[in-house]
Amino acid sequence: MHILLVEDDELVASGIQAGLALHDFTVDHVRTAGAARAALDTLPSDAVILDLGLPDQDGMSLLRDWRATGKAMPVLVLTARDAVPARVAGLQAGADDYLSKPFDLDELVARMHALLRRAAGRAQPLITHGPLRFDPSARHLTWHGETVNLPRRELLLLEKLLHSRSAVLSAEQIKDSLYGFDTGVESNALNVHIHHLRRKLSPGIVQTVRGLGYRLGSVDEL
Amino acid sequence: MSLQRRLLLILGLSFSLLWLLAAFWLQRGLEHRLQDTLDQRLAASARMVGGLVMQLPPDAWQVPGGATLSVPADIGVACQVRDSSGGIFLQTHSALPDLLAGGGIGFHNREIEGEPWRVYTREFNGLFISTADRLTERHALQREILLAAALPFVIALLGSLSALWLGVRRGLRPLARLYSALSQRDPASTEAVDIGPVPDELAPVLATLNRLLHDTGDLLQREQRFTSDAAHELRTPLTAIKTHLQVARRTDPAHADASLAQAEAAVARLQRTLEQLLTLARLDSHEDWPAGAPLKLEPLLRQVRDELPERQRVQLPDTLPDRAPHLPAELAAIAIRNLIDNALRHTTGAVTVQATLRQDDDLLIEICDEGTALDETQVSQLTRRFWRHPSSSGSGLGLAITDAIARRTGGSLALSRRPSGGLRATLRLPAYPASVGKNDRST
Repeated sequence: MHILLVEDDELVASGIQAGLALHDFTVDHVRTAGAARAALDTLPSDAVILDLGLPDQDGMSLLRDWRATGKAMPVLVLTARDAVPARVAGLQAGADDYLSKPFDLDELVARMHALLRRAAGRAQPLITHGPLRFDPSARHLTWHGETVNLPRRELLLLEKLLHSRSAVLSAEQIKDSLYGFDTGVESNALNVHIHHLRRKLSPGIVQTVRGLGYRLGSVDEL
Repeated sequence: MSLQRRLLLILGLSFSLLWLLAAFWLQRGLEHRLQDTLDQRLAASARMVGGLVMQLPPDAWQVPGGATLSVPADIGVACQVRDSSGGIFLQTHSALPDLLAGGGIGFHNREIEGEPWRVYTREFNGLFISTADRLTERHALQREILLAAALPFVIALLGSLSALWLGVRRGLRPLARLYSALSQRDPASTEAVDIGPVPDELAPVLATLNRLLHDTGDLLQREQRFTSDAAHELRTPLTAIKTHLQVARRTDPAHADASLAQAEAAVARLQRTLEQLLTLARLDSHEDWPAGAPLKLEPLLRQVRDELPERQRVQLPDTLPDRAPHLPAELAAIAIRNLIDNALRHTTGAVTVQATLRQDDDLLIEICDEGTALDETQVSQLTRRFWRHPSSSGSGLGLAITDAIARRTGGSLALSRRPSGGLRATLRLPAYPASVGKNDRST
């Protein structure tokens, strides 16, 4: 999953980035509200972690702007100021969740998963698709009741497809969410991952939509 | 008790009391005068009858059989004429018994047939002339006169009481408005109190109140901002420490090192912020600072420069005033170090320091850099606690500390933009007399 982290403090940002990477999130870090606007327009971010104390603009007004222009991605607000009114204002400005600094890494990860799950319209923490069951926070996958251990990238690819359900994803979109925007990727790497997924699970798990991209195969083709 | 009620009570009671006293006095006076006047009337009637009787021939009375001359009775004055033997010659009220029975000469009050009378008797050449008034009539007359006098009196009293009530209420209306405005507002509110036009006496009260409210509001706001800023500055490195430690524990040793190094950097920052906060707190509490030996400007500046990581970029002048700043050397060092440190942070070029002694024996220490161009608002914010330039990594406390030190010792800190860009910081500190202070730092 692709997270946009908007945080001006370098030390905090590197900690969050490293912590989320341990849980297979791809994190793009920006320091200013200006950079955050640009990043949100160009990167396929599934969720945003937004620090309120930004140098160029208040995080709250940035969030309000985003909501006003119809950007609906889940946003978790981080702040080191702990007044309850600030918390309420954050939620009113369109935040989906609120976490005070300092927080527990596990709590941040759990909340991110919950946000992504709710954003995908699921109430259950487990994602099921036919014989497939996937627990995003535990990174645990079973196929017909048996545990399958997939390499990190393949699991990310599968997760992306599961979250998008029947929507078609372009190859670029998938690459972005697998690698983030600052890693050079070989052109056929995605094809290799897709091939592996089909071989390990079922040929129908990834469906190619000619000229457009890929989507999750429907349950009856598995 | 409310001011209005107290005023009404005091004024109303004294009004009523005074008017009642006046009324009592008037009544007593009237009663007396009336009594006298009616008595004079009795006496005058007796004199007149006496005069008339004397005009008659003496034999007019010597009627055989003692028939009494009678005049039809009327209300008002009764009259009776008799001789010394008791024979009645003339009387107005035939039904009345002897008016003189048991009485003497002069005025008397008597009960005749169950009715009280006022009787006057006088002697004219052996004839006794008595005139008499019914006291009930007198009393009725007295009551009528009193009533006629009292009615305007009572009306005037009631009128002045209501005028008093209206006047007090009207006069105290601004106070009542202030009362209701104050009792209805949120006690925690620091908004100005507005009750419309106020009388001259109340205007300074309201102005003072509003100024105090405004100052308190400012103070509260500054306090809240400071607390919030402090929370932010302390929690941010704490967050970095916690997150990096958690990452270090979950990851393999090779990656853990990088996280631990970051956590350490965050600890260093937290430590610096804490130390600066403690310095500020000590300065704010006006606690005594250990004085130490006064240090002259030159060794002081050299010491400050040598402790800085990028000392080669700091240019000290060749000659410096041979004086020591009049404050503990430690504080002087902190104040100057913060200024130079701030300048070094915002420029990659040189930082020049200059110092002069003013006529009034104050030292002027000027620190100039060629760093980030600031706008006027930013310059005015520089000494605000925790304010820092968006591109700065400092704690935002250094200049605030220098400012606090300068104020504490009666000096000042002035910050201004340089025409060529960058910042000029001018620190004014009072100086010791020339004989005080060491020229080296072997303390």
